[in-house]
Amino acid sequence: MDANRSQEICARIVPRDADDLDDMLRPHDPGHRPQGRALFPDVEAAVPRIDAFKVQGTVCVGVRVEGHAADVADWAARLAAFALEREVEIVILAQTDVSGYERFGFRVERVAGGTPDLRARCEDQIVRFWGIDLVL
Amino acid sequence: MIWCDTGGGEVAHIEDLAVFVAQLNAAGFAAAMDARAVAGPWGRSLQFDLAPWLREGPAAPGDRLAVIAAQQLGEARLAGMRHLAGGAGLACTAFGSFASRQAAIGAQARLAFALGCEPDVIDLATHHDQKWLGFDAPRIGVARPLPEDGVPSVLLVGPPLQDPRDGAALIGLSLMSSLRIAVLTDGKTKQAWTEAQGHAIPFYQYGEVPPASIAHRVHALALFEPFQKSYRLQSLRANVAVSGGVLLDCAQGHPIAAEDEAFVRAPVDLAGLGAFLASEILPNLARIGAHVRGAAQTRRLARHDALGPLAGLTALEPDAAPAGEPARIVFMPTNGVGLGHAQRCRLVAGELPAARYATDFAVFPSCMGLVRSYGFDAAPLVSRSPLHSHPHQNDLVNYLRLRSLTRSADAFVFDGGYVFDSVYRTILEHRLRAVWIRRGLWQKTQDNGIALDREKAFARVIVPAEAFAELNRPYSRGPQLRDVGPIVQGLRLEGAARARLRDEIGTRYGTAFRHLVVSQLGAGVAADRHAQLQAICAMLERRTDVLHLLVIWPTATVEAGWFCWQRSRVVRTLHAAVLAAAADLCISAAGYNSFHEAIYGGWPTIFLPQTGAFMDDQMARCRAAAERGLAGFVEPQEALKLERTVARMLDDGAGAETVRRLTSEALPAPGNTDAARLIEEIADGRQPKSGDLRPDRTARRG
Repeated sequence: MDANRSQEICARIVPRDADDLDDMLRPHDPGHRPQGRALFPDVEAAVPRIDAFKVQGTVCVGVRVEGHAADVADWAARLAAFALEREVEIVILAQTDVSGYERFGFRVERVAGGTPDLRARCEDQIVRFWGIDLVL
Repeated sequence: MIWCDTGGGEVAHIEDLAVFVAQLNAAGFAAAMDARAVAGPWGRSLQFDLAPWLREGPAAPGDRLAVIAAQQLGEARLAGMRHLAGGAGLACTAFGSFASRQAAIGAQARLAFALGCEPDVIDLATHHDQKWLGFDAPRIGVARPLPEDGVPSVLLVGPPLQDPRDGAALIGLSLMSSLRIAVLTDGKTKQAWTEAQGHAIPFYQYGEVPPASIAHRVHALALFEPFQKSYRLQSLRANVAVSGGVLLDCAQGHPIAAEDEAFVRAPVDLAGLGAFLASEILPNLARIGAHVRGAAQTRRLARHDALGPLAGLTALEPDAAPAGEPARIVFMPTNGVGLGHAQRCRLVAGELPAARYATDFAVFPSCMGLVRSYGFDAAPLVSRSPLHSHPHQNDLVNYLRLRSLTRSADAFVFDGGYVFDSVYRTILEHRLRAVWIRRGLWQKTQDNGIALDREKAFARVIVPAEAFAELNRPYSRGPQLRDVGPIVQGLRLEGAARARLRDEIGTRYGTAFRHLVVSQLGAGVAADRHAQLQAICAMLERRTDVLHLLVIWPTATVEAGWFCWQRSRVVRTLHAAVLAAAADLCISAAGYNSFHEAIYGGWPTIFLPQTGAFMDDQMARCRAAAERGLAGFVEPQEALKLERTVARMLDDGAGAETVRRLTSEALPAPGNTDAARLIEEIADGRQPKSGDLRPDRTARRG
């Protein structure tokens, strides 16, 4: 991760988060329905593993996130420090629509699928796309 | 599984391999390539050609290997095949044209050593009837049903276009109502033509899509030059022939018809072709097509005789939709900068009768929550990455996901400004009935050449109108275009419900307020609005009668400084329209969705446009509303004017006056239902008569 981006992310890290008003507003929206499913289509083909980044030697590390953690700011600070010191890109592998890391500017990929196997295949595609060797 | 490989390592060999595998799959065989064997620095088009067929080795028991261009076999490629075989014997059929019997035996021996199994070797050069066709790979004909109703299509391959008289003749052909023409040519010729003449005549370049993806659109194939050097064109010719299309030799001296009895001699100049088609071909399409299909050579193509022992392998059963299931429609909105495309699609999808249509979405991660919150199932796509060397890398992943998601779809609806390769190829490959919801108001400096070029893949283009007539401009013409009223929700909160919600908000934030101000200036992708938002927070901090809610998109970045203000709160919601409908003032960007929601919802609004070069012309929208007295308009750098305008709206009655004018303004009726009905027609395979859509009505509220 280049220094500018790391600093931008660090500058956004505060414990306070935007207030989620959906519970209050949803009943007034005539279009809202029970939540739909997060799908992953069964893809047979193998995604080619990334072979070239703009900056040679770019290393990406995946961070698996299964929900929206309460201490996300603390984790974001640790990850930003890790990225800055080790010169790696952090890719969040999120199993929810909002992981909490988006607001700081991390790259977040959505892992979807109705079964553990499909979610694993979805994650595998993303791992190949980013050339990730290490998933935390 | 039939694993496929080539003896040659040049780009031309890999291109032929991609066509070969695509043809096999289109013909119903389960064929693939070892991803390691075809890795290389290939161009974008070839990467997309290869992507669907890449698999990880090694081969499984019972698999076979098919090798084309086997006369080229070298050590590197043999090593790859050995890796694929994985130490177990892998049955193999190799195709090539060998200079001598000795060369064929040599290739056979090398393959046997690499694979641990004696291969079949088929020397294509010895097949007398193929003496100038298919030297490297066997030709496979893939039959596709040709549309029987409507106007016949003629694909002109490599027509001469250097002389202006040829260009004029081509335009003349395109004006004939008895046929539709399209052109297949090289990239340079296509670019020169479209730059000079636009996109009225569909032009394809040779590598644009696999042959099986366009053959079903071709009733007659007119070749203006010999094509024996191109496996891609040989495959196209084979597909058209077995589908019952007509083959025309328009090359100088008719060398193709001299060698291939399936071809009809035709005029070699475009000027003479129209009359010939009208008098000789079009009235006899069925008869000539039947003759072509019945020719001995065509029957061999249809039986896949050239595949030798591979021809008998069990073919895949084509996907069939279960009987009685509702028709399935897949929507794909591009996320663009905000959520507008996704909002528009979910509004239209919500108008489709749920009992008759099942709708799925493919969306970028920022839109997953929004689409799902309205009850739709959604599959995530991968956003573009600024780090990858190739900007289309994410689109390769999306291509695989879209192909899979739409495999059993009855229709596909795309909403976006740029038609991605993934979208374009998926539509053609699956022969999807495709609809493009395309809002207008493009900036004059925008280059939308690729998007307009790809309009040819869509059966219908739905253009949602702008609220104000002077903002509606045509970008293309044709029977596929349909105008509908603005696609908009126009949410209003009346009386008690509005008062109750405002009370709830006050209670939640523990503050009384006279004025509720809501700002939503976009996702911050097109333009950084950090400064403007800070200015709004600062000016409202000086007041004691205001609560300011700063709305951010669910996955947008949030600046730390926004949390420091007493009268401003940072909020996140998928239902921002509800909040805006409860507000006394909305400060908003002017994307299509935000703008029309405000105008149709009757919200007092100050528009602050996004001005990214790749965006719609938001300034024009803002001016149109401001000139009518329906909104305030402040340019991004006008921080002082913004403060004055906020004060006028809240304190000097301008806000109430704006609401009064919005209530009495005559606006076109929303087009949500009309758009859904137009999609239903395509999904059901109905062919509506031109102009059967009721014209936009004028709605007067209040």
